[in-house]
Amino acid sequence: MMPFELSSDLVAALVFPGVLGILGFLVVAIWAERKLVARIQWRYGPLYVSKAIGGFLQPIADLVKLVFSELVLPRHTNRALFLSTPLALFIAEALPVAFIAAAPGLIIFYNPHGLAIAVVLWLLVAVFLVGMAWSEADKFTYIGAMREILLSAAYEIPLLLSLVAMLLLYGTADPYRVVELQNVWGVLLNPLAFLAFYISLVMSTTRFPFEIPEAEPEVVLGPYTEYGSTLFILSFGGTYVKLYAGALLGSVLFLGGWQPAVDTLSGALVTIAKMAALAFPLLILRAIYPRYRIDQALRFGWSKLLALSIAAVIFSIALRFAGVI
Amino acid sequence: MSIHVKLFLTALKNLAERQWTVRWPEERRDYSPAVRGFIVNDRAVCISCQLCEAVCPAKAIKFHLEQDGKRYPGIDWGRCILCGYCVDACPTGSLRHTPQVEITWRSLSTYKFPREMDPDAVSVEAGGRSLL
Amino acid sequence: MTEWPFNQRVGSTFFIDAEEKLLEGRRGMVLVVGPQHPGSGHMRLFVVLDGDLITEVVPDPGFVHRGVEKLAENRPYWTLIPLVEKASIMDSANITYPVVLALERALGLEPPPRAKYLRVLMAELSRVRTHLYDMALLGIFLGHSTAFMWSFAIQDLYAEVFAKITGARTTISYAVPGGVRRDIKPSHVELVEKLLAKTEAKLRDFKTLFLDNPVTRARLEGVGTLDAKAVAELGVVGPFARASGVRYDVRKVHPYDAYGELDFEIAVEKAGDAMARTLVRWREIYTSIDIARQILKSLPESDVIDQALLFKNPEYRREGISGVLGVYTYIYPELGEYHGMAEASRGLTYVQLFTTSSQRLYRMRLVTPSWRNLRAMVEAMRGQRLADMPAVYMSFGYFPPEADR
Repeated sequence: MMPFELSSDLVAALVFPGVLGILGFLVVAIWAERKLVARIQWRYGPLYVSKAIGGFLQPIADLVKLVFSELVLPRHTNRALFLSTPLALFIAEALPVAFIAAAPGLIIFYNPHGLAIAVVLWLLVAVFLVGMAWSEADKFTYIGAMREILLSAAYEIPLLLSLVAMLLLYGTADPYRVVELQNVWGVLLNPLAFLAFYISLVMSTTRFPFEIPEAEPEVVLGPYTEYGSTLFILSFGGTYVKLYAGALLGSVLFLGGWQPAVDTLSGALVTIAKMAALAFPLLILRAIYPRYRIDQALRFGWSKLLALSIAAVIFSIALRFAGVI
Repeated sequence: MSIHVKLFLTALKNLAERQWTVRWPEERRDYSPAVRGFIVNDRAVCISCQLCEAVCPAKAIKFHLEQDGKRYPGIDWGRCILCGYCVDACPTGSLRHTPQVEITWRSLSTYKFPREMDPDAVSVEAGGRSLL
Repeated sequence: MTEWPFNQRVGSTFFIDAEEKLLEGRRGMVLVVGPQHPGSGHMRLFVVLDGDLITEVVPDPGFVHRGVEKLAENRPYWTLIPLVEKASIMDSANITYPVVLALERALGLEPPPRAKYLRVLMAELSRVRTHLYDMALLGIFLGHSTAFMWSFAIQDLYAEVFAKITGARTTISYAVPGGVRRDIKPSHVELVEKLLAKTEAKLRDFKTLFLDNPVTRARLEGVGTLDAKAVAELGVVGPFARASGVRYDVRKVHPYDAYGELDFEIAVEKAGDAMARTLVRWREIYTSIDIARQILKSLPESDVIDQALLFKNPEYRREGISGVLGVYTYIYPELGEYHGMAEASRGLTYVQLFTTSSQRLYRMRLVTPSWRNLRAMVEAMRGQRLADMPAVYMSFGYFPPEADR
């Protein structure tokens, strides 16, 4: 018997999928994105900080640099809101992780309807982003916020429907049951739902063809324009946290979670591998696509993507009636 | 759909491409043999004709009197645009370019008309990495 | 709308007042894009927005005005070449071309055939390079960083070849009145052949990833459309006029130097939108590569400097360098008014020289293509969405230093 017992939810909160996992993902994803995109573009990418390990410490160096840079508070803003919304945003982006199991026993809050709660929490994030952009009181952030609202309206319904399709298929939102039911991976059971989920994930994390709210030549940095220093890390790092939550949710719902592993440690490793596989194409999107115009993205979201997600729901119901699962 | 797959494959194919970035100063670009670099003057050949001063479009060249009683050109490197007109105008070939393309000075006072346009002072050799 | 006080200071409420006046009873705002904006270049654009639609764009150029025309007054004629080429450094071989042609008329010089071919070779390589540069900026304005990096990588090969042949990466000052400054060697011919082959090989992936990309096409097709009539009325020149079906190219209409002897077709598109403007330039890259290959194949053997110049003082001919610059100090242009016209990468460039009987000019007038395309660019932006602003901007290849001179 150990002198004191680390309860599994504490480990989950602090290590994986909690704080350490999020921060680790932030560093690894930013480094991997810069490195992969650089290689596609015939460059080295980050290199000079820690040359031996391919510049892996560059994101950390950037974080340190940003923390120590001056924090500029625009005079015309509501300071309390200006300071608090990035923090709220960062936390809100990370909240869905609390209700998703990363391995047997590795969950922060267990709830029999955990996945449904995670999805709802995930969709609430846009509110903070818009609030942040609004409190900055700048024309470019205003346009960025409008784009963010329109874009989230376009992806929320398909995202919700694709997840509803999977939950309908499994007949439960229990984070453990969902994985146990996947003798055949969800992506094979309902590929339509996976496709709709994946594209919605790209849109919700504003990865490249849909990197519209922060389009640089048009609106400078969209909702993040006025932020610097630590607040910039919090506000801009939020999208990577969202990507982390999305990859975790996707691997649990579509890639069979920690299967085929059974114990906690190997389960966590399997989940990490699956999350990496899900995140990899999202990271190199930056090197492949330019960005859509907002009206094109909306047209796509409200027509093709919506149709795809509705088809996914119908397909799920059909599978359910056929008794596949 | 197939076009998107093609795009991904094209991108992944280029992961294996050699990096084009030249990591200066560990490696240098190859601009040899004729690059218009730092200009030196061979005083033994110079006839002090002042044609270089006359053709200079940036008015960067001024002549100064030396100990041996001759006048020699000095270049204001803050004005010089390295167009090479002076080198082309030089009737004896005493002015010439060197492959030294990185031209920097420690202070403002030293880069104006430095008298050391000695060919032996430039040690940089031609050659380096060519992207072609 | 006519009186924009362009000198407004920070903290002024001018734009707020102007918005209220401009957009009475309508939703909308005035967006000040530039000069410190990632999508403006060295200029400022006042964009009047109605929702997401651009109702009016008022350009405020001049941030990089150097006064080339004023600087050209009262200075020796041979110093015009390094002066003018700084206006458009990527395009230095083309932008100095009309100056050289005008000076040759003023001085009564005729370049030997080899020099003519070499000038055209450099002009065409410079054209490829400028188009790649503009393509790169179009890519980054649409958010395609790979197109940006690849274009810049490929155009750097041209910088390297320029450095090896002429001595400088960008500001080459290669053509001078009466010829060119350096002859090319057999090794240089091989170098250029290698360069063209590598360009073609690398552009294949570029086309797949950028021009054939459905997102790029969606962003460019049907955006900023100008028909042939509008283009003619607005005085658009170069590939941007040819994209609307105006078949005008100085290389064909008034062939200068070796262009009359070369076999090439000019690229013309009908659509007149941003995609057509991009495609015309894309096809011109291949036309230029073809012209360069023809030149390498049929390069005549002769001197590279007019014999009349060397006759003045034979001592100035040196090995490898046509050391003719000193001879210019002996010769004087005829008093009069001379002009030169050439097709630069971004369109027609026109130069008018007013000489005095000394070596110094009375006046130089320089008309650059970007300046002539500015009006059309602003017209093309009207009615488009805000996101189309950078796409239309770079589809015109607008280069503020070239326009502001």
